[in-house]
Amino acid sequence: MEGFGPDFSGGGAAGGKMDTGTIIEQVKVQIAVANAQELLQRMTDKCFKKCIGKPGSSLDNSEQVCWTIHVIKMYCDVYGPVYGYLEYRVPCLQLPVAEGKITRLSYLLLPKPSPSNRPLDLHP
Amino acid sequence: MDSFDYSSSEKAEASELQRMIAIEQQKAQFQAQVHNFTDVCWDKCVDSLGSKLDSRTSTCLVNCVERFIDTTLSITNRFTQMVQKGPH
Repeated sequence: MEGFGPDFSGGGAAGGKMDTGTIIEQVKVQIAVANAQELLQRMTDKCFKKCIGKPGSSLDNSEQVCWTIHVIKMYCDVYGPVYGYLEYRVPCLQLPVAEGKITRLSYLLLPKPSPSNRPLDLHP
Repeated sequence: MDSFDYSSSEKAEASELQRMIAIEQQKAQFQAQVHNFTDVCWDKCVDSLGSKLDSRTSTCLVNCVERFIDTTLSITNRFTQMVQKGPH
């Protein structure tokens, strides 16, 4: 990805002026990183509350299974549909993000709900 | 001094950049809202772990999102009224 290349830190030899496209790409990357961090933070919160009883000296196997399989899956099962439902529900927010113009980084962590298998009932 | 004399193309580029950044900010705000809704509605609707998303949970999520929107609007309206009426 070009955004992580050597021009990430500024204009440099080109005279101190980056073009619009580069700036916007960097903005998108920063926003995607912040969004991924938020998602991880919330998932960790939920996982910990749901799966860790009295904290022992290490994570035992059942706790690992609990948060690894169940809670991350459930969070993505909830996050994706809620995302899709809000895109549908609030028309003024049907921004280019709906067309998948987020960077590859956020695609790794944000399952984009496809209309064909959207589980939620969309009757307003 | 050249550096203080912006050409019209530079001004146009700057305002275009501002517009595009505003769009990205809006997207970021939307994403933050999704996190909020997900957080609240996960607590309300998800009790048992490990079960696939069933229709009961789906219905609960839809209701949760809708009621959360209703609550936000109601509180905003009531708060606006209170502020307009003043301290009496």
